[in-house]
Amino acid sequence: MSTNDIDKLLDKFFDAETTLEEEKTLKSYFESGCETKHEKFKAYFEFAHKESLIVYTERKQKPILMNKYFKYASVAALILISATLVFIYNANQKSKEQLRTTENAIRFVCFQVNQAQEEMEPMRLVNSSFKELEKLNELEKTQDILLKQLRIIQNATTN
Amino acid sequence: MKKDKNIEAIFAIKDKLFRIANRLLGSEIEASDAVQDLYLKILEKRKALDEHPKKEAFAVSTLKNLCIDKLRKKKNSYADDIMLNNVSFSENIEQKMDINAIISKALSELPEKQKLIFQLRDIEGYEYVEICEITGLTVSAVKTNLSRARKLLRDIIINRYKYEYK
Repeated sequence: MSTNDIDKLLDKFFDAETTLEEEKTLKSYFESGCETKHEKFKAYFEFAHKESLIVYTERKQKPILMNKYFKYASVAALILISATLVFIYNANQKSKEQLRTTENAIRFVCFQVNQAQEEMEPMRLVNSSFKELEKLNELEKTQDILLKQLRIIQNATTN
Repeated sequence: MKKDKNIEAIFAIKDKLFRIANRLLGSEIEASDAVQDLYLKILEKRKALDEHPKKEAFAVSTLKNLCIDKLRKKKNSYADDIMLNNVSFSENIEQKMDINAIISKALSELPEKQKLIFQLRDIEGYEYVEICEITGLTVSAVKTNLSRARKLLRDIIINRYKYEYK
């Protein structure tokens, strides 16, 4: 292909009027070493060729990032659960202690009441003795009546 | 069996899809994510793929839409960063850059349509009719956009050539 043909083809190319076949011709012309006159255009076709060789690289960072977040989340959840368990355990222990203290207090009061009742037992006996003494008073009264009647009888006999 | 063949055909052009996504998004990491998203979308929409007469054009068109969505979200979130990057890129730095880096940078600054059409034609070698199916543009609109992109790159390359050999 003559230099003139390449010039025309390049003009067509930059006007976007070339066919794919013509574009292939231009590419192979620049790949196989072009004339000095066309050197300035070489970079264009070299760039296009270089870019067409880029291959897909699968990115794996995304799941790693997800795993990292998942790890952090699970550690945080574990700490939270542990803290909650410790809190519940402590609260439970405190209420158990309080229950024990109350039980002891009630037991002490009951013991004191029982002791007091035992101490009150002789007093109850004294109380019942007083009731018995009341009967003695009744006896004295009857004795007095009898003595009065005896005196009356004596006086009557002496007269 | 037919369904599996269609999906396999899309998996077979993964390199092509990755390059297109990379051109539009300007990042290999984001392009890789976009290709993965495309596969998921295609697996969800198997019926649409089976019914489409041109499977490859369907996949590239879906990928293009995915990339445009990603770009819109990115532009909204990082509008300030993009402005800063543009300001910091001075001409002096550009002169010291390798020619391939200069072309890549020039391409990244092209409008989305020109960028995509350049990639589809000059890198992937699609026919104009296929590019029309993917982009939804007419042949003349595709040619106009392609010509603009090619001429801009040509001028950049010639300027650089002159700078190196003056």
